[in-house]
Amino acid sequence: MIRRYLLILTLLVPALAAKADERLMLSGFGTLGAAWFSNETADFSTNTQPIGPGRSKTIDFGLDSRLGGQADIELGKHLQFTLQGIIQRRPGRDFKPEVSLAHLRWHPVENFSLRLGRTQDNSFLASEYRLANLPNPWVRPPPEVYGLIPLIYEDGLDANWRQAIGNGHLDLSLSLGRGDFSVARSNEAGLEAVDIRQTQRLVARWQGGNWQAKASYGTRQLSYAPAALQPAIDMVTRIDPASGAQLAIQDVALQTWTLGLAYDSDDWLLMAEWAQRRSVSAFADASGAYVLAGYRFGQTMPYAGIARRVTDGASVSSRNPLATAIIDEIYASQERKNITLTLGLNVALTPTVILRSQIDFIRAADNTWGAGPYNNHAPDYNDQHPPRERLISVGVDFIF
Amino acid sequence: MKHLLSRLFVCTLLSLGAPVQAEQIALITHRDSPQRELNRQEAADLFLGKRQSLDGQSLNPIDISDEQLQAHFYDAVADMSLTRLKAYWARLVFSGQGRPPPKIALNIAVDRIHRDSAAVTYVYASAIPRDAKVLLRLQ
Repeated sequence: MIRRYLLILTLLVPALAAKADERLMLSGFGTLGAAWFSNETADFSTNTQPIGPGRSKTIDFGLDSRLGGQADIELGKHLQFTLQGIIQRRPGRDFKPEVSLAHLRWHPVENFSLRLGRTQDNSFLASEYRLANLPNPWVRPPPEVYGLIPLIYEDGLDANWRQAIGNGHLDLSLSLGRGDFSVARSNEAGLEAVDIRQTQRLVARWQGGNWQAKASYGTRQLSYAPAALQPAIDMVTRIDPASGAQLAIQDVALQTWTLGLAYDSDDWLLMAEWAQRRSVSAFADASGAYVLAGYRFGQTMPYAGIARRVTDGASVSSRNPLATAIIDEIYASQERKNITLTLGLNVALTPTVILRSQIDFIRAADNTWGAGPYNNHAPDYNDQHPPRERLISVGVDFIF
Repeated sequence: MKHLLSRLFVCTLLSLGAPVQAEQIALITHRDSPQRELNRQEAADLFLGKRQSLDGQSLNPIDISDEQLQAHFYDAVADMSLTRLKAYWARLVFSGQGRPPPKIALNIAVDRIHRDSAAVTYVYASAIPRDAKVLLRLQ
């Protein structure tokens, strides 16, 4: 209850920002979005969304909409506390407030800082500020890449070191943490718990002029018992115990690699990212990439991008033919492969309000369950020849 | 009426083509500050939160709430529009990695320059306070 009041306070207090002391900075962000999906036999959703436009809703206002508030308090010359709360649709289909940031930041010298508490995954170019979408060029991050690491919030510590190099600087970050989150069951009410422990991630980012390059490697222990896969895993365990033990998603080492490059000037915006995840388990390996380019005509920026996601195949095998058939079925049920062409137009109404519109043309490969964000498939979903789909999104991003 | 409209049109075209003399901006600090003059990159790093000190001297940058002056300054020092500046700080603030300089009215900022030897702010060059030290001039 106290946490709820604290969050409500965090979300409301930005209205009082004008009167705030300089040691206290109050700010906020939000998105009001609507999306329509051409397929009526599946939803387009994201990792944390239980439903989306398509089968569940003709026009969905909950896919991208959110409201966040933040308080930054200077506790001393080198110590700062940050609390951020957010309201958005959650896997349980409710809109309960969540704590999205809560950490102490200690920066005893200019080149070094340490954060202790809740932070957000920093693997991707825009992953730490993906919730406050205004600085980003898109309606939502490309799920082909950003969907590969579903955990956003991490509890732990991260250390950051900055080194000047030429006209730019290199940031090295080491994160240690853990996190729990829930995912919605496809076509069913109820949630499944995902437990991630012992996250260790190294991120290197170089920034110079308008250029930015980023690379990361991370490993974490993943525990997850998906109801849709567990009976098949149990069956393999009875037939071939060794393969069954490998399939079980219990304290499995999940490794991720990411690479990103961006150029952002007053005219051109160019972004490209690639990511891959690997584990030895029933959790399918996958990789994805995108490139995006935009050009600013004053306050208007048209942009275009192309993204690709592939499921990379089986990491567990068996010499038993029956177990092999079941294992093949486990991986086939997660098969997602698609190419998405994105066209969009942003209009900055003011420096703090951006109007967005975007259309995604999604082409899913034959014999797959479509693109990564497809969810809640109907029995008549055409997985043999998934039709080409369109996703139309409009929205307003703002900060205050 | 038609004649008046055509004259207005010609005047508008001429004014669009006329060179506009942008007013200089000066970066100023306390008159007794030991801080040496800054170059453009150092000033940009200071106001974008990439540095908090120079040559071991701690500096406190102060932003001005006059948006025209602020836009002129960031365009001159970092080639950044206000839209890109807001996006830049949104990335840092909403990931919990920093906060922008305090933004206050010009007269209060100038008053603070007189009281705080580490304070640094910007003014139009035509309005540099008599007892302030100029660290950089920007066109």
